[in-house]
Amino acid sequence: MQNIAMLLLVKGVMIGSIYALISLGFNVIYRTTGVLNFAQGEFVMVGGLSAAWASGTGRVPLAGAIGIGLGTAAAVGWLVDALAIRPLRQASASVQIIATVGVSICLRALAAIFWGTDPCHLPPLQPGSVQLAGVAVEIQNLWMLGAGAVGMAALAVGFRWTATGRAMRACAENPEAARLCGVNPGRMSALAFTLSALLGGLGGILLTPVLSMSYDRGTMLGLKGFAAAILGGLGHPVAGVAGGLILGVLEQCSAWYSSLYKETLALALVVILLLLRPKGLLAR
Amino acid sequence: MNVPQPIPNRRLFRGPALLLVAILAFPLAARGDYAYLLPLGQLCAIYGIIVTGLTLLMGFTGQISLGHAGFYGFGAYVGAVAATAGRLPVAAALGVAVAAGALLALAAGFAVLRLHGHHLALATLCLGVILGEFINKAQITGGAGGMFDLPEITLGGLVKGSAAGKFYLVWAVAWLVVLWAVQLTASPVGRALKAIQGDEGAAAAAGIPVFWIKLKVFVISGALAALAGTLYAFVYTPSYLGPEEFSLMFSVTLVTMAVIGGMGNVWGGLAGAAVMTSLHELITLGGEKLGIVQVARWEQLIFGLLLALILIFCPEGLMPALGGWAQRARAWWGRRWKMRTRLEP
Amino acid sequence: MSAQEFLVVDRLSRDFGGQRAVAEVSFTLPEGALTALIGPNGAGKTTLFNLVAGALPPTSGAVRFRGQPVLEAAQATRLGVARTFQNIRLFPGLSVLENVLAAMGGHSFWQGSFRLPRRLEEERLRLKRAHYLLEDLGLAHLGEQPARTIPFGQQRLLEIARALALQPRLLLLDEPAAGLNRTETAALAELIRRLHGRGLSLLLVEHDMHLVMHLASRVIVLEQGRIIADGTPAEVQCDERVRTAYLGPPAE
Repeated sequence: MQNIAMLLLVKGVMIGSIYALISLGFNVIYRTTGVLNFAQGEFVMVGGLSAAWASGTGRVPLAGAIGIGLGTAAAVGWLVDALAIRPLRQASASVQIIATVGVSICLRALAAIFWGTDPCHLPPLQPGSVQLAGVAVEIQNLWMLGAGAVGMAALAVGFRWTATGRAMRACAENPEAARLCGVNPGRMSALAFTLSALLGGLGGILLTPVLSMSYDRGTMLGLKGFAAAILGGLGHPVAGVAGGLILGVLEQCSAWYSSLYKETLALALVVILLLLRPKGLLAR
Repeated sequence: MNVPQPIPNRRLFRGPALLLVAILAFPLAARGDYAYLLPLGQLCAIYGIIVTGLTLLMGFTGQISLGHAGFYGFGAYVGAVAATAGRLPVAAALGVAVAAGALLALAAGFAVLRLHGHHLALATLCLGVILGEFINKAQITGGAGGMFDLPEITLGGLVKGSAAGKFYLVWAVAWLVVLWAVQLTASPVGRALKAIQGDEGAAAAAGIPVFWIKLKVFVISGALAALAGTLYAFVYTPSYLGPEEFSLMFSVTLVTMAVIGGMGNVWGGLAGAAVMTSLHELITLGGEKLGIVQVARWEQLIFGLLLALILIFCPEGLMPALGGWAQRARAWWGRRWKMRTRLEP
Repeated sequence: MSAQEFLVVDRLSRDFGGQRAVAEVSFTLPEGALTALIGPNGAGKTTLFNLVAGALPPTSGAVRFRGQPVLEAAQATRLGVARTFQNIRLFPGLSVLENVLAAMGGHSFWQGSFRLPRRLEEERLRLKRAHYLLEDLGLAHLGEQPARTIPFGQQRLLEIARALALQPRLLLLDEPAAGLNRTETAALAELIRRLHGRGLSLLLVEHDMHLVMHLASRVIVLEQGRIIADGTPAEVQCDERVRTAYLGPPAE
C-alpha cells in the first residue's frame, strides 16, 4: 500500500513537472502581456514533434534533435507574437485570447501537414532506471523533474533580478507607464512568447520519449498547464509550479482509482480545490 | 430638454422580421445544386441557439464559460437516452433533456458562479471536459461508438425526412429564441446584465440581485445549449449521435462564435455562429472551385488564418464592424448627395 | 416605530485575516439626521461603511434598519439604504442615463421577456424619473454619453444620482468630496444640504474637515476600529482624544 502511494506520488510529480513547465509558459506570457495563451499546448507539441522528426531522420544526433526542437518551438513562439498578437495590441483581452485560439488551430493544422497524424517517438535522453524510495524510476523522469526545477529557478531569478525581467513585469502592470520608462512593450511581448514557447518546447522534448507525441496532443497538455497555472493563482509562477505538481499527483491517484474516468476525477478535484480556494491555492 | 423615450417597437422588431423573411426565403434559394446548404443552415440555427445563450452570459453579464459544449452534449444524450432506453415519446424526451440541462446548469452555476474571471473559465472548462468524458466513456451513451437510429421529430409527418422541413423546424425554434432574447436585452434586465458585467459590487449597490441574476442567465444558457443538443440529436442527425461534436474544442469554438460576431448584442452571436459554421463549407467549396486537391488537409489551417484575419480587421467583432461600415457609407453618400444638390440648383 | 430604531449598529466587528478592522462598534442614527463619520487613514471607516451597506458580512454583531436586519447589499437597497463608493464605481459600458436606470429595478426575467404595452409604459415612467433626476443634478445634457467619458466631478454626481434612483431613506456617501475642486465641493455641499432639506437622512465619510464641520450636525470619530468620540462638531473638535488621533500626542 505504501509502495503504491509512493509510486503514485513519484509518477505524479514527474508528469506534474511537465505541467509545471507549461504553466510557467502561461505565466510568462500572462505576466508580460496580460494575454491567456491558448496555443501554449501547441508549443509543447511543436517542440516534441520537431525533435522527434529530426531524430527520426537518423542523420541528427539526439543532442542536435533537442536543439532543433527547442529552436523550432522558440521560432514558432516568436512568429505567433509577430503575426497574431502584435497586430492586435490595441484590441481587448478577450479578442487577443481568441486570436491565440486561432493560432492553436493553425499550428495543429500545420503540424498535421508537416509531420502527419501518426504519433512520433523520441529515444530517452538517458535509458535505464534507478531505485528511489523503493520505486523504480526511469532516469528520463528525473530529467523531467530536473528540467522543471531549473526552468522554474531560472525564471524566478530572471524575473526578479534582471532588468529585462523587471521590464517584462512592468509591461503587464501598466504598459503605458512602462513605455514612458523606456521599455518597449512590443519587444517584451516577443520575448515573452519566445521564452514561453521555449519552456513549452522543452516540456514536449522531455515528454515525447515517455508518452510519444502527435499533432493533437497539445490541446489537452495546454489545458493541464492552464489548470495548473490557475490552480496556483495566475501571475504567480512558483504557485503555478506547485499547481502543476498537485495536478500531476491528483491525476495519477484518479488513474489508479479508475483508469476510465481519470480525467473526470482529476478535473472534478480541480473544481473542488477552486471552490475551496477561490483566489488560488497559495494566495493569502 | 426632451424626456428620452424607449426604443420603439418598430425599430426593435425590425431585426427579427428581417430574419423571418430570410428564414422563409432560404430553402427557396437552396435548391438543386445548392440543396447541401440546407443541412448547413440547420447547423447554423442549432449553434445560433447556443451562442444566443452564451451572448447573454458572456457578452451581457460578463461571465465566461468554456464548458457549454458539455451542456450541449448533455442535452443531446439525455434526450437520446430518454427516447431510446427510456422509451419516452420524442417530445417528452426533448422536454426532459431541456429540464435536465437547466437543472445541471443550476447545480453547476450555484457552485462555480462565485468564482470570477480566469477561475470561472477554468471551472467551466473542467465541467465541459468532465461531461464530454462521460459521453465518451459511459456505457449508456454508447461511448465512442455513439448511438444509432434515434427517433426523429416529425411534427406528425410534417417534416419527415425533408431537409427544408427540418430547416424550417430548427429555425422556428431559433427564431423564437432570438425574438425572446431581443426583447429581454431591450428590457431593464438587459441593463442589469450589463451593469453586472461592468461592476458587480456597484450593481449590488444599485439594488441588482447579482448572484441570482447570474445564476438565472447561466441556467438559461445551459437550457438553451441542451435544447440545441436535442435538436441536433432528433432533427439534424437522428441516424447517428456520436461524441465528436461535444469536445473541449467545441466549447472554445462556441466562445469564438460569440466573440467574433461582437459580444454586446444578440445579432452578433447569431452572425458569429453563421460565419463560423459556413466558413468550413466555404473553404471546401472554394478549394473545389479552384481545383486544389487536398483541400481537407489545408482546411483547418485556412480556417485558423481566416479567424485571425477577422479578428485583425474587426477587433470589435463582425456586427459592430458592419455597423461602422454602414455608417461610414451612409455618411459618404450623404456628403455626395449634398454636393450634388448644391451643384444642381 | 420610534425614531431611535432608524439605523441601529449593534456591537459590529469585522476581521480581515486576524486584523480587526472594526471592533465592537455600536451607535444609532435617528431619521432625518446628517451625520459624519471621520477618522485617520486606516481607522476602519470604509469597512464600517461597507458593513452598514451590507456589502461585507460582519464577523460578529448586526446592523438593523427600520427594525429589519441588513444582510446583503441588494437587500439593503430594498430596505432603503443606498450608497456611493470612495473610488467612483459606475457601469462604464452604460450611458449616463442607463447608469441611473439600472438602479430603478424591473429585473424580472419573466416580465422582461414580453414587450407588452404595460411594460413599455413602465419603462417610459422610469425614463422620465431618471431624466428628471439627472436634470436635478445638472447632468441631463450628458444622458446619452458613456459614463466613463464624462468628467470626474460629474461622475461623482452621477454616482449620487444612481443612489438616489433607489429612492433611499438613508444615503451613505463615502468621501464624496475626494478629488473635487473648490467650486465642485461647494456645489456638493449645497446638494447635500438640499437633499437633507427634503427629509433624506445622510451618513458621510469625509476627509474634508471644513465640509464636515459645516454640514454635519453630529460627528462620529473612529480610530483603530473603535469609536473614540461622538457628538456635535464643536464637541468633537475640542475632544482631547480626537486631537491626539489626528495630530499625534501633544508635545511636552
